[in-house]
Amino acid sequence: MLVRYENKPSIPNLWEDFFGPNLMGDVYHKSRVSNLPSANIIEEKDKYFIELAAPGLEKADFNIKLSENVLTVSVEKEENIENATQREFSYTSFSRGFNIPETIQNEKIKAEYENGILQIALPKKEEAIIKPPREIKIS
Amino acid sequence: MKRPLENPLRLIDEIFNNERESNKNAFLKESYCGTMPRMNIKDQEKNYFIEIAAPGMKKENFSINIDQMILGIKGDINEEDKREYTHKEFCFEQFERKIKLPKDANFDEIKAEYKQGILSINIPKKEEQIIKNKQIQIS
Repeated sequence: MLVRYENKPSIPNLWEDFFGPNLMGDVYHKSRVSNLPSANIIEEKDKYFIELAAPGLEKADFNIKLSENVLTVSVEKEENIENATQREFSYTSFSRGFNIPETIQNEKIKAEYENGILQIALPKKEEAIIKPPREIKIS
Repeated sequence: MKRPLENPLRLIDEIFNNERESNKNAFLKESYCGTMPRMNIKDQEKNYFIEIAAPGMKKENFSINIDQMILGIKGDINEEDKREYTHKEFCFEQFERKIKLPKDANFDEIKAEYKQGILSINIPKKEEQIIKNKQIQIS
């Protein structure tokens, strides 16, 4: 199981939901830009996949690091916000971490970027793969 | 699990007034299948430029239409997703956003493209509406 490890909590959103945007005034309302890409985690028999929705980037923009069982994906890029009348997303500068279980073959982690999604494949160690039940014959 | 994306009363984004009613529940929505894609808008000298962050789609999954002054953007993936998610934050399987266009938008020349997970829509302004910075002489 990959427990999410988030650098920036999303608590401010809840605050706005319950009390409306006017409590903090327009300044707060206008600063509502999502800058932390969403992630899905998928489990297959022999591997996990992390999918990070970070559209509008290039493969070379990503920096992926693994240290002490924490996988960190980060991007640091300049963004042109000239003439913007509405901004809801900005994935040009972020850092997001994931706790990786010990059952992953760290040296075989692979990543690819396609259609705005960064997909990281994390193969499980041989002993962590659940084998199908086997019938044992009595001789 | 699919559920209605929007409260009908909130269907029209009054985008050019910076008022964002429909996004208030974004935090709550994102825990369901059917994430509202986020949108950035630029008001440039000769055109309006809309960017919608909807990664992992295909060009064919989108439909864009104009009814009266309302630009409707729909996304629909018809394939069933059978993968096993241990954690899910985004899913652009089905969504719809509607934007009221300003009066000077030139409907006939709207162009859209899908690249790196971002759907960008370019709406030129009608030429006669572009007011040049003009000095008026006092006689």
